[in-house]
Amino acid sequence: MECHVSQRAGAFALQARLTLPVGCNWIGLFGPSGAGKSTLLRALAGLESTAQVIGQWGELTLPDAGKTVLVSAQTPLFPAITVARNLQLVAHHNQQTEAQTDWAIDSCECRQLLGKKTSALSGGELQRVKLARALLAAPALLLLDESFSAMDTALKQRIQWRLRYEWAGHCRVIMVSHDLNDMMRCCQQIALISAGKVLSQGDIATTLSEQHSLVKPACADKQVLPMASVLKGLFYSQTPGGVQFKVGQHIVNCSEAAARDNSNHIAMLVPASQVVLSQRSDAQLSLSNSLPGKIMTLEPSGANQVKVCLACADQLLIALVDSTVIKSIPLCPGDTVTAHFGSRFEYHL
Amino acid sequence: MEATAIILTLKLAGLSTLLLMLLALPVSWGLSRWNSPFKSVVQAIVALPLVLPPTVLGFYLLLAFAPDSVIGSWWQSITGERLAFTFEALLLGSVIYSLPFAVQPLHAGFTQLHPHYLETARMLNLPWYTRLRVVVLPAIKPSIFIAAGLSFAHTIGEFGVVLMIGGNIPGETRVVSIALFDHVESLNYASAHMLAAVLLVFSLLLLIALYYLQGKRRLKWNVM
Repeated sequence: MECHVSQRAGAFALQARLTLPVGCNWIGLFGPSGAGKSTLLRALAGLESTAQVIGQWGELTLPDAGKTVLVSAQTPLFPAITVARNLQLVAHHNQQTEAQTDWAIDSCECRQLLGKKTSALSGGELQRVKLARALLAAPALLLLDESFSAMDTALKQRIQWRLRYEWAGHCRVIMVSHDLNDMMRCCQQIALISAGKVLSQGDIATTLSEQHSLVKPACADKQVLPMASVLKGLFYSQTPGGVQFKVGQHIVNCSEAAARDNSNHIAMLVPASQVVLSQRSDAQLSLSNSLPGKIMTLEPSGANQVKVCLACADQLLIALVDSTVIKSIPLCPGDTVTAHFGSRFEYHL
Repeated sequence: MEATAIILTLKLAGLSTLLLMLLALPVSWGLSRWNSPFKSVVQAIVALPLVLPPTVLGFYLLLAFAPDSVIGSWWQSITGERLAFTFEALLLGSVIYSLPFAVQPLHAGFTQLHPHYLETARMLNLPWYTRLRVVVLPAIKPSIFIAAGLSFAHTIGEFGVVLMIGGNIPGETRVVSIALFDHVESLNYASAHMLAAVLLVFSLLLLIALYYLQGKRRLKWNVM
């Protein structure tokens, strides 16, 4: 199942073909500013009169403006009425019960904001109320355009977790964010968008590793995702600062902020620039993780850097190393090295 | 006698303001949503009374209201009375004459209402009457006050149109401005002073109130 969205506005042409698997409920859209992400969402919401949308996602036939709700900076609260009235009106006209209304308000932690005027809300509070109001419209397709950007990490985590696991099954979501951690927490798939086209789509680990081959050397500066890899494993134990999970026989420490998946599976995003390699396995570094790995490939990346791909217990780990270092410490494919990295990465593009 | 003129003037201004609001709200809403080369033609026609000498407008209205004209004979067939030199003719003339003063502030108000608000309300499945009540009316409420205030003030101040189509019939068409003219012609300066002062003070107070409202709400209206 897929969806095709096209629109021409001046010199910019949107020609996006998104794959929409039935079993997938959250899809993330990633890409540089001006790539057409917001226009794509507006078109899906039926707000772009010149756009053409045709597609199918499970039981949902697109476009379906009556069942689609967009949350973005351009979907303001109604300033003439209070926060509570904003929510009540939408709940009333979408036949939401009192229990459903309470659930939406509490999920987005809006209870203490109800008495306020809309003009008295901070950026993060505004986003919470907009999100709750969108949920009360009972959408079958929810479109989120940077809807968490002004929230602090802990708050964002709580709300995203509730939407992802308590609200799952109520609707499907397409989300635009510049925060890879949002994608890690919520999305089953991400699509990479550049210049109005979908370059690639798939799970986060695959898309992250694929994009480097999609970006031509000439436009390496236009790389849309940070070079990074994703380590996955089964939950091992809870620690005061986060969780531990197992990659092969090795234990990896991960702060809650970096990843929190459902059930027992943990996924952690490791930016390539944050990985330190050592040739000695007993090197003592002030980083919480070290994993032995075998060098698979070495290839130049950008200006004066070398991308080193390691196999750590069947998983791909990418490290970026300065080319001058490679000259003094020779690394070759087949060598075994130890990769060191921290447990917490805040990744914003 | 002066009291009759003042009451008649207030009645005329009040009724024409009411009719103008009913007429100008849909007209200015339509204008603010309409994109066509003909929009400037319609805008120009609405704005004509601003630049035309009132006597020109009065002259054409007089012709239109005559018993042998289309409008005049139609009126006569319905009501059994002639239209020219009646209060109803005056009311119709006032509505046309003050139309730009009602349309322009409302048009400005509707233009300032960002489309995102209505887009969002529609997306959240709010029905049209809720969108009107929660989004549109609160946004243009100050514009409605200003449009009504200006229409009222302008109707009180009209003279040329009234003279042409109303004449000087006490209790029917003899409004304050006509009574004032009458007093001056008959050299009755004491009564003229009184009426002139009433008009001056009333209009000044009304405009002060409107400008105060404009400053407070940072509204734009460009009729003056």
